[in-house]
Amino acid sequence: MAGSGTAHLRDDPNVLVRVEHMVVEFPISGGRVHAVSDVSFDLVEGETLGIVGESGCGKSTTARAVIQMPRPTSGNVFFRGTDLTTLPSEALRQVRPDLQMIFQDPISSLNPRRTVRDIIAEGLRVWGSRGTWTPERIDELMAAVGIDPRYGERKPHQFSGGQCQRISIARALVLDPKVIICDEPVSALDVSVQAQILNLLEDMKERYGVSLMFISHDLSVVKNISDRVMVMYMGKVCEVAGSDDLFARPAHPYTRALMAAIPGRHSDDDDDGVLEGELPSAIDPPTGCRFHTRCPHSQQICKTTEPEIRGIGDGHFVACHFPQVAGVE
Amino acid sequence: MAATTTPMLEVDDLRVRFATPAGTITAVDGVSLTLGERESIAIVGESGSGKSVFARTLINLLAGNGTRTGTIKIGGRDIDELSTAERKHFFGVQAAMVFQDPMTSLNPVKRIGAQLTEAMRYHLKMGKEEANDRAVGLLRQVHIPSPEKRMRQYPHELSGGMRQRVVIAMALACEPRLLIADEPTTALDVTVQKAILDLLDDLRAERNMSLILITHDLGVAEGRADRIGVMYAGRLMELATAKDLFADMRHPYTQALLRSIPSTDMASHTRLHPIPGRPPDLLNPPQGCAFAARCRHAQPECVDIKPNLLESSGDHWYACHFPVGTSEGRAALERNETAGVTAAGLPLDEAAEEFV
Amino acid sequence: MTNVAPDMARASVAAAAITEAARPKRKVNWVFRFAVGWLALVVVICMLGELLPFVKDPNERDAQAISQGPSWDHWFGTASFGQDVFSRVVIGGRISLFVGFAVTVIGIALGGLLGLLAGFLRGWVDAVVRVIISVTLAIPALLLVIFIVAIQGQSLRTVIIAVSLLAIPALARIVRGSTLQVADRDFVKAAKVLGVKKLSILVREVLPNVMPTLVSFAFLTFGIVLVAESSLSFLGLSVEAPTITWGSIIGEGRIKFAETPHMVFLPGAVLFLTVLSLNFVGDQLLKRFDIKESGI
Repeated sequence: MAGSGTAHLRDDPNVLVRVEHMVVEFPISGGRVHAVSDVSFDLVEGETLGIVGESGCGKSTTARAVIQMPRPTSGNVFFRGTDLTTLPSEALRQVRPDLQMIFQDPISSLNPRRTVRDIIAEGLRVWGSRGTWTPERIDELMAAVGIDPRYGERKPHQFSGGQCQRISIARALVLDPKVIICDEPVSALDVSVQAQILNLLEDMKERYGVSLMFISHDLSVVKNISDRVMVMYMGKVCEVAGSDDLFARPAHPYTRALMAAIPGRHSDDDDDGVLEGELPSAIDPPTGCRFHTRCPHSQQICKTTEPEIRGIGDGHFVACHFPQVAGVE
Repeated sequence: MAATTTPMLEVDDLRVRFATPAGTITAVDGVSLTLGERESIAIVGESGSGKSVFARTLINLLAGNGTRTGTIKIGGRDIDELSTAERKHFFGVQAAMVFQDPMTSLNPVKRIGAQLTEAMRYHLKMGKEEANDRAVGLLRQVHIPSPEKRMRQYPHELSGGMRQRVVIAMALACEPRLLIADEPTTALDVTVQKAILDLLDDLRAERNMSLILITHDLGVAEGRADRIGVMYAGRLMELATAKDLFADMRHPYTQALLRSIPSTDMASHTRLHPIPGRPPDLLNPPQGCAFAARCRHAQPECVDIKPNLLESSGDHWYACHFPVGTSEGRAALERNETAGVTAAGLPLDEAAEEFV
Repeated sequence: MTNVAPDMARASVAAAAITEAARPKRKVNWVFRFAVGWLALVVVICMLGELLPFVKDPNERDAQAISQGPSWDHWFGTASFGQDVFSRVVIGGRISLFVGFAVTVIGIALGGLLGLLAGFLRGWVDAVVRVIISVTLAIPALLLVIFIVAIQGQSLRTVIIAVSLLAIPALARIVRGSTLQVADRDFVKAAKVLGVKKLSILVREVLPNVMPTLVSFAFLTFGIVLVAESSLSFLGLSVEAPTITWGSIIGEGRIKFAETPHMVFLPGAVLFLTVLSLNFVGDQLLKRFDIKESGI
């Protein structure tokens, strides 16, 4: 399988989440959508892992499959050593408080008919206090995310998109989770508000010691918030590296194409950013390396053999037969 | 930029108001703009800035509850003075528009070919054969592979990027001299976005078109337009050549916008500088500068008097009493920093910046 | 938490700028007021019935006034044996409204439950409910009613059962659609992520958002049932004499239409206005609830 392999998994005692060979497929009439195909990665305590890629790359499905929504077709997801994929639903529910999520659409993610205080305290209603937060301290939590506690009795529609996202963050934090999955949390926001939410996430991570999985299509945003970044294409891992390192020396041709396409970097001499052809069908993905149909460096081997993920130094890993790095064949 | 011939577009003191159940909203508040032939301009703004309403108004697509004042001249023709007969073949012919979501401009139950040829047959009175040939040529021009095959397909059979190319081809069908693109790439992936923007660049050069590019993304505007206008709360805050705007910005809003955007040139975890506060309520717009409440330079004057868009030097316009990079601006910022708070009541410590 | 105070300070900066969501001032809608007023009037008069001084015994015969038009003594005129039509409309209305109310409650309860479960649980539950809905909706309504009446005999209970059988699948389908939409929203996923139990998600997150649709359709259903009952009476398939309903009064009037047109038109007008009001109120409620959703 192309773009597979586990060379980038770490042997760290502080690994919180470890995903091995995860596959997510959706049956449809006339075949199945290969949304995530043999993806492995891990998340260390206190770390922010950015997952970046274009629409249809499976980044969102990957993150959601970690919390078993949906359950992966195959593969394992270990959270602190427990395999979530084999947990029966009640046992899985018991683990849920540790794995929280923030959604893209700030409006849709809050129940329009409940008050903000009620929404934030919902986790406590189910589980009782799990440490930091108690029903009496909801005001404090609201203040911590920048929502005036005096507005606790208001309904979500009385808040702006950015404020709704703050409320979502508070709702996730109330259970003292270990991991928060952020699925494009700033994509629906204006740029000036985007910065507020990114800063807030950094602060909350610092203050409450949560780890983040941050999914975004926006490379600048991902670079800003992440410690480590994983680039995905068509359900496969292309490249994994430390945030600064990835941007300093992108090795996978797809990563390079993404970076060249960042608006504002436009110049006449780079054609890297324009990919040839169309995104292939996820029902019938290309053989070999899934990127070979559009890759400017594609060779015969790319069509037949899927590249294994391999290290190119400094915790930088790439799944490519011909990575664009000096000294690596 | 100042063309000696008739400019492609002249907008003078354009105001658009919408009557809503809650009151009247001024979405575009006195925008004046001149666009030369072959020139491109990007209008940048956040949601609610009025940029999209501005674009739609230019092409006579004002919603039913909207009223417009001020004049719009396209190719020297005042659009209010067009006769009914002229009007029929003006919008979509002289000036055409590309929308953010290609599906809003495409009819889902009609083949691409039929949709492309329709306008040509109606506006240019072409025969079926001729229109067909031309449509295939257009699809080729927007780099759609195997155009003959695409002509027989339905919109849903194409990818988002291909659809947007079809919409661009449709807009080009009647050889417009002015193309207005309203967030043409917002719904698309970055690599596709780049391809579409490249395409618009090339087409503009080939066809001598003028282009208005509406976007929320300063990055998209950079390098894609000769001039950039920054809109906020229905007003143009700053208007300058792209180079000047980034190198020598004058308006505190432009500066704040730029400072709030993460860039891949920054190291990971670089602290961002959000713009404190939020845009004004358009139902009750402030008396003075619309940005005053969020501006680090704000002085009493800013709260009371609305600054006009004035030209400083060499085609650089801005609407600010205490612009960035001037001695007045520096003095204003210094005064505020000493006081710890601006004249509009915005605290200037680090913490205040973080919060809504 | 050591740094709560600055948090509070920051948050109050936020407070200053919070949106007073542009909620349009609702114009007083006089049609809506009239509709609500009419419904209240009809319900109160029908409930009080004989207690009201101007309502007579609906079966009392006035030999002096047979098949007369409206007069001061008989507001809606009299029937062919001299009964007071207005009183008949009041007493009959009680039965008609009861049928409407009963069917609406049964339909909302059973149809709502089926739709809610199908839309929320999906999978095989949804498949089964969908088949039930499709099959029942495919049976010709009139034949079904005739069939039930044939088995059960004509009675109030039969009418309620028969019309309910028509209302349940229709309501189930509407509620299912609405539930599917709500259950797909992110706040339902968020509740699942929090570890909220399924039943609690259904009751606390989904139901309150389906409720407005349900309530609005309850009004529409009520109206439809009134018309349906009248149609059945007209066909002689509803309750038998001496029980009176609006439908039966109109049916009686039809027989001697030339002599007693007022027996068709006046009760007909009451029925028409009531159904129209119900429809209008249902529509308005749907619109008003919607504003809450639109948000920012």
